[in-house]
Amino acid sequence: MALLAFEDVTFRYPEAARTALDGVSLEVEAGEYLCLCGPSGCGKTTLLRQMKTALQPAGERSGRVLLDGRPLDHVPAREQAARIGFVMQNPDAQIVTDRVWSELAFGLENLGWEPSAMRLRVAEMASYFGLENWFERDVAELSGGQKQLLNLAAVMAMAPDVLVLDEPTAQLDPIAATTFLETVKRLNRDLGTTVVMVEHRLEEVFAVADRVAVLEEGRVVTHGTPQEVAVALYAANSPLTCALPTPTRVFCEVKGPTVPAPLTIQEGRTWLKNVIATEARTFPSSSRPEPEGRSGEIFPNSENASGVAKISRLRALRFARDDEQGSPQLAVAIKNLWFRYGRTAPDVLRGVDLAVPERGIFALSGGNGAGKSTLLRCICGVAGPHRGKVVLFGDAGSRKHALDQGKRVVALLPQEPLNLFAFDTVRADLEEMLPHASVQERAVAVQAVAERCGVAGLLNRHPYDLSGGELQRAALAKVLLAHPRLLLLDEPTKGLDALAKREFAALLRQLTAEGVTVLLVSHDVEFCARTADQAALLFNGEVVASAPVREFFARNAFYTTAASRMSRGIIDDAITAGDIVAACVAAEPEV
Amino acid sequence: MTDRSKAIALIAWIIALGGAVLSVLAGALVGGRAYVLTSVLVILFAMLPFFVQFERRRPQARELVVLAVLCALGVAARALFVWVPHFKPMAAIIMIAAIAFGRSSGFLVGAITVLASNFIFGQGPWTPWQMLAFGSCGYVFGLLAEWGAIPRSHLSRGRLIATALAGGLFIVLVAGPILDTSTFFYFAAMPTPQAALAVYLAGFPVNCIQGASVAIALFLLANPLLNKLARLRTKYGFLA
Amino acid sequence: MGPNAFGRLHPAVTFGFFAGAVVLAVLGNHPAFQVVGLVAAVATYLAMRGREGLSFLGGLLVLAVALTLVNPFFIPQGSTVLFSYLGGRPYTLEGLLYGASTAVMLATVLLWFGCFNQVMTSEKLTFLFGKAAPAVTMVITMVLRLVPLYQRKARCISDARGALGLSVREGSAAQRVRSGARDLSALTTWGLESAVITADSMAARGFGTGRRTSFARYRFAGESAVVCAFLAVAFLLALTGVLSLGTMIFLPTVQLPPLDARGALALTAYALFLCVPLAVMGKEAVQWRCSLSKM
Repeated sequence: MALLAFEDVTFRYPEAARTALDGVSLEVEAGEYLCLCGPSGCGKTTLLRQMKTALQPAGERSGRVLLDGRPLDHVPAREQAARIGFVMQNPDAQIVTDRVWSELAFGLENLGWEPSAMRLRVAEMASYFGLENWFERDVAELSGGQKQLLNLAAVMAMAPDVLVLDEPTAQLDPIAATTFLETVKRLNRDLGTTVVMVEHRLEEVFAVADRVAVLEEGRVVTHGTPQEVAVALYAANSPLTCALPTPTRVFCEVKGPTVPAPLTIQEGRTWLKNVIATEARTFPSSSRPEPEGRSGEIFPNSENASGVAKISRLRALRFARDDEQGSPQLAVAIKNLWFRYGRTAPDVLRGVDLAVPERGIFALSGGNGAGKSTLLRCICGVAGPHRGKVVLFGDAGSRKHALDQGKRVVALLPQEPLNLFAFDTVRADLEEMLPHASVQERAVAVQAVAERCGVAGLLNRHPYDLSGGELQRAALAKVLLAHPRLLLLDEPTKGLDALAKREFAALLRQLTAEGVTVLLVSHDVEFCARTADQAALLFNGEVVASAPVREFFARNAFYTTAASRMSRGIIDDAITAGDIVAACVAAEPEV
Repeated sequence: MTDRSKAIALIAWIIALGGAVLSVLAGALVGGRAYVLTSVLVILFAMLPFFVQFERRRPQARELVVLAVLCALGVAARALFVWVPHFKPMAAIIMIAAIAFGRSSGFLVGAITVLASNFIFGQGPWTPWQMLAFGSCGYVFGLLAEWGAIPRSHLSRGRLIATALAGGLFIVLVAGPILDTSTFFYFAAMPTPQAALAVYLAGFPVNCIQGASVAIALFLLANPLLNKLARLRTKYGFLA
Repeated sequence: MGPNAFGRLHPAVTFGFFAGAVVLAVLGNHPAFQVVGLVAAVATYLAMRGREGLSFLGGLLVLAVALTLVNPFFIPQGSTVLFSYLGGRPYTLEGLLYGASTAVMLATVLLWFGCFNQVMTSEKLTFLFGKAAPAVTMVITMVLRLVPLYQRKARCISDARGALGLSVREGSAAQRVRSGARDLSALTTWGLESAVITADSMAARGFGTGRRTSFARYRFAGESAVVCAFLAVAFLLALTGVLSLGTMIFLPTVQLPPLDARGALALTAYALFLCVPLAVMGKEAVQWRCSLSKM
């Protein structure tokens, strides 16, 4: 008997036109690691919330959810609380109390445990999760990743049979996300805890999940092993394919959707070596359109050439093109910039030198605490450096103008786009940007920017009802109403799924075509590689490298894209899946 | 209200009244400065029924969290107005919470806001008096909303101005003087009418400034905040 | 020597001590009692705060002097006239003494509250009242977590909107208040939406499914029990003394009740009661030294 089973579950939110779940039947075996995925709005979260009576949203429901064969409605609330653990997306909002230890004890207190038993369990949890050093701390001192681990530990303290996770890493940086997912896998492997997880970081989850189920419009469209599902998604030409692990994508592009497709970089490299080494082999040429937006432009089809040779030639071409442009005017020129938050605080920026050319996308990457956000604050004039200068568009005075009303040289889209929204509709928030315009002008301007950013249909929605991608575009619309020449983006891909990232990247491309310069800081290496023209690495308050994006990521050995790691030493200078595919296709001899 | 909760309320009020009377008698017996302690005991007994009723109701997670959010907003809001001298929107936020959730929740938000705020800024002998003053802000505005004098959301311009004026007036005439009374009890060697007059007169200008800032805060914040609370009710089916 | 040694006693004992100290400070207006109370309060406060406590003491001194000098203006009685003002209203020595007595009482109470704030963390108070008032305690715990969170978020919001010119830090007061109100509005939405998640997270972990226990980090045993018994006895002795001595009369002339044997016993009990925090802290300091020298 399955641990959890959905039997023909259908659900409709009050006053909703269509059902959020439409006859879902799914079984979860004890000890299994199940990943649920699907495009945004497909009903993933709604499905997860059916697994716990306390979290079921209001609406019309039919069908049954069974725990150990018992209908969930007949399982007492206490038993559900103890046996079904639930971790949500937002690390901060899930925490209830102000101390780490009291948060760990919270669930046990609710279940009425005896104090002595509680002490032992809390001690066990702190030791297992390595929380001993934070035990007495105020939760406010923890980083996002630590908070999310605390949330996991607080749920695991009740020793649940099944752990339900709703996009637990969406708000985390890549390193914290990897740590979190590894901890979940460890729980699954060491304790046999059943895991049901909605996650859009498929690159990592596909390698560890036992089974994947894909939801679309409230129905389970595919389920099976990660390999089977990956191949099925390709066969169905699903938009979700862009979220799959790079090796799987390359494989399916080149060989077509067949099993066994590689899921990890390691498997991918082994396969790729064979492909590139044995040129005599033939490949079915990919019939699918090129998924990588820019690779087509860099790698136009050409006749007989080996992969490596071809890439090298194209690289020369590409770099030559950069040189032809000469030295364009600089949007941002920073010389020896130093900044600290307090007189005695340590320096956050230590002599930053940065040159951002006009009309392009410049990506600044770097780890936590490297000073990325601080640098953006200095550029937009919110923070004042104690040494060094920021020159915008060749005019040293322009940073001062940056804060004058109306005329805005530079605008910043913050990491939390919701920080910009103060009203109850997107429209009211956009109109806030035009305080001096007439009603008519305002309506026209708002409509225009909304269409430009693809949020025209969302103007009457509440900002908090938007999905991550929609929200990011709405915030961009608000920022664009300031008519900046330089657009600063702080972690623009946080909380976005692969599809939303693509849409956002396309939007940024369009902006640069219109003459806007984009400077983004991001942990998201893949996004930077695919979207940017130039990239730089900020480490410990200094820019340690700055180069055209291909050169930058091709040169890095660790801090680089999955595609670059997969093809290192096999294909030169490939940094996206599209690059590898192009090389593989080129390696195919002419018939 | 069910019979059970009615009975609990009644018992709580009887205990409170009895306790208050006993405190007064004991204070009179001891004499000297015992009235300082008596006044605090009377206040504590007066607030007791609200807390007892709240606890007996066994409020669910959602209610507790929303109360906590409103209290925390009251304390933290100051951070957003550091650029404006003398502008403390705490009382206004308490009144708005009361308009949205009624008199008992309103009282609790008021009392808990100052109690929690004093955990951060330091407890003192004035804590019970502040709880009473801000609790009464919540109680009265909750009552006004329950009577229908103030709508729960989307106030018309006229109502908004009236509410703002009422808020300012309440601070000047009731909440401010309650706090002044604590000053009077703690600072005056002897509770003479002259001393009382001096304390209340000295407090008047301060209360006027506070009253004006509460009126402005209510004028600016009442509609946005009430509409947000209304959205919470409709979207998540929170607190009737 | 910090507040920790006294703070490590069971919270009920610490709380009981402060309640007793404040009650006795208010009721005992015999000069001997007042002096003992003030000296103990000053010593304990300084022992807990060290040099940092001096500025608060300075402030208290100013307040006390002002109170002493101002009070006679509002006390018409009193026989020894020092001077007259406003057409013959008397400013009397008795009034001045009465004022001084009040000032000492207030200073003592404020000092005990100062010590209270050093020792009684919110965690201890919520532990103490968690059983009697679980819901209110829960709310306070959450508020204490949310306030710093909101302060940080408020800064983020005002920075983010400020960078777009929506939040004015210069400009007229009216503009600043209006932009502050919008920022607060943004903060409120965020706070309320997060509240929904917090409530779900609580419900998911079984909040409200029945009887709740609490993770007791304090045990009532050993030193706490001994100290508690001692405090109770000393308090009762001191209280009976305070009550039997009657209240000191200042007006129209100062009448000092004689300190008989019973009064002396009560005074001793009061002094011993108030010395408990110092004794507990001192004992630990001595033990620490000894253990160091043995090493």
